[in-house]
Amino acid sequence: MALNHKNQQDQTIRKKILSLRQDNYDSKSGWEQLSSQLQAQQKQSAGKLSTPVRSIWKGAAAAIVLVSAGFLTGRFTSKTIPASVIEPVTILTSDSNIKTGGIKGDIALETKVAPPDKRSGTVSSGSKRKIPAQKNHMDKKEPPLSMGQYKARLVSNDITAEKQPLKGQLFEKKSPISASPQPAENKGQYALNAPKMSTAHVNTKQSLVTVNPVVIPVPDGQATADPLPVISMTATDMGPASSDAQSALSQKSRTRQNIYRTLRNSKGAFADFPIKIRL
Amino acid sequence: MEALELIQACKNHQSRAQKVLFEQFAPSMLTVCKRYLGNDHDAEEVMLSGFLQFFQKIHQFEYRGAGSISAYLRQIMVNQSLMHLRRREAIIIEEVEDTVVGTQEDPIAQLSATEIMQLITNLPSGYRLVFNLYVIEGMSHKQIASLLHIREGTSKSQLSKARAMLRQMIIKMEGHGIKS
Repeated sequence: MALNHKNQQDQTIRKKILSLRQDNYDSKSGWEQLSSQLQAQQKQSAGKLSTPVRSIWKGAAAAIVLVSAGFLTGRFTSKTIPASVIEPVTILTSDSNIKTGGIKGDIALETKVAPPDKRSGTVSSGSKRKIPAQKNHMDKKEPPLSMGQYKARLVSNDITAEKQPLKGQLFEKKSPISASPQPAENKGQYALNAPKMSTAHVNTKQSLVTVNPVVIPVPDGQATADPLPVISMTATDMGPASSDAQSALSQKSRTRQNIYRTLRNSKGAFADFPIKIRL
Repeated sequence: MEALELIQACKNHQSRAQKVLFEQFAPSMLTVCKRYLGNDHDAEEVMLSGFLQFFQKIHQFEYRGAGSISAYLRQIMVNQSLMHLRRREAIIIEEVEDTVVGTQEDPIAQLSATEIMQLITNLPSGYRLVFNLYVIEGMSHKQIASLLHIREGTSKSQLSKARAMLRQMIIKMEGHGIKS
């Protein structure tokens, strides 16, 4: 009861107080103060809004400048990497006590320059006849050779190599595949120089094949007619050839096919040699 | 201009509407601030800061009738006054000597609004705060305790002592013939 009475009294006081107004208050002067404060606040808020926008524009401009600078730098500093050059491998050319058979490719190269009358063996001449035929019929597979044919071919190659001794330089700097000065009919023979295939194209990721012929000293007493010289080829950079190299090779696909075919056909003979070739 | 249009214009930062609103509500809001602060100078300063906050955050205000603007503004003024008291002086909850008032009848309700206002502004700050918050603003002791960071019992005792002091003041006024 007393609580309700107190609440009623509080309600009365509240109504009286809330209805109270200070009518003598000079609202104009108050508004002048308030409007100046409001304008200052609005300027501050406008400045706060413009700052992030300005920073975004600055960042975008800086990014554009950096990207363009990087582009120009890359544009002017990029250079065409020169063609890979296989340094000529110098071998000891002492005919008296050293006998080198070279690799098969070299043998084929020498076979090209050897006079026709010094060529011996029907297999060798037959193989020379087959190479241009393969150019015309790429998909035609050569029938596998028998062991006797392999030996005969190897002997003929060896003999040819003896007739044309090496002159201290096994490989040319210029790949016969990319730009061969030889006539087209000799390309197949040049293509037998298999290690040169990997240097056919200029590329930053080109696979560099290094051929290290192992020179085997032969005693003087031994005849040069030893049937099979031992040749070791070591291929480095076993990674896949780059696309540019592949495209260059595809332009000379016939030559490549010849190489593959020749090697495949000579599989039996190469089985005797510790040769690893990666194109 | 109707109240809703006035609010919309203020939300669009129209200075004329802001001026109209200020002139309409400033006198009543000044009394609110004066009730809490006890003097005209601080009351005007706090009132202006309250209006400034109101115009800055007017996009948060939802118009729900004629009394909603006044209630919203009053709440802002109360908060601003409390903040001002916290900045200027710590809210001191004084312990004044108990005065024995035998009668249950509260003579405060018999006074006019101006007399009540005068008595309230003469109260100590702690009594004044609790009396305003409880009697005028209608807050509970729990709310007052959480707002002023005091215990609930303290709020009750402060209110009871404020009432007793007001009665004593009224008696003194009657004794001096001040009562209208």
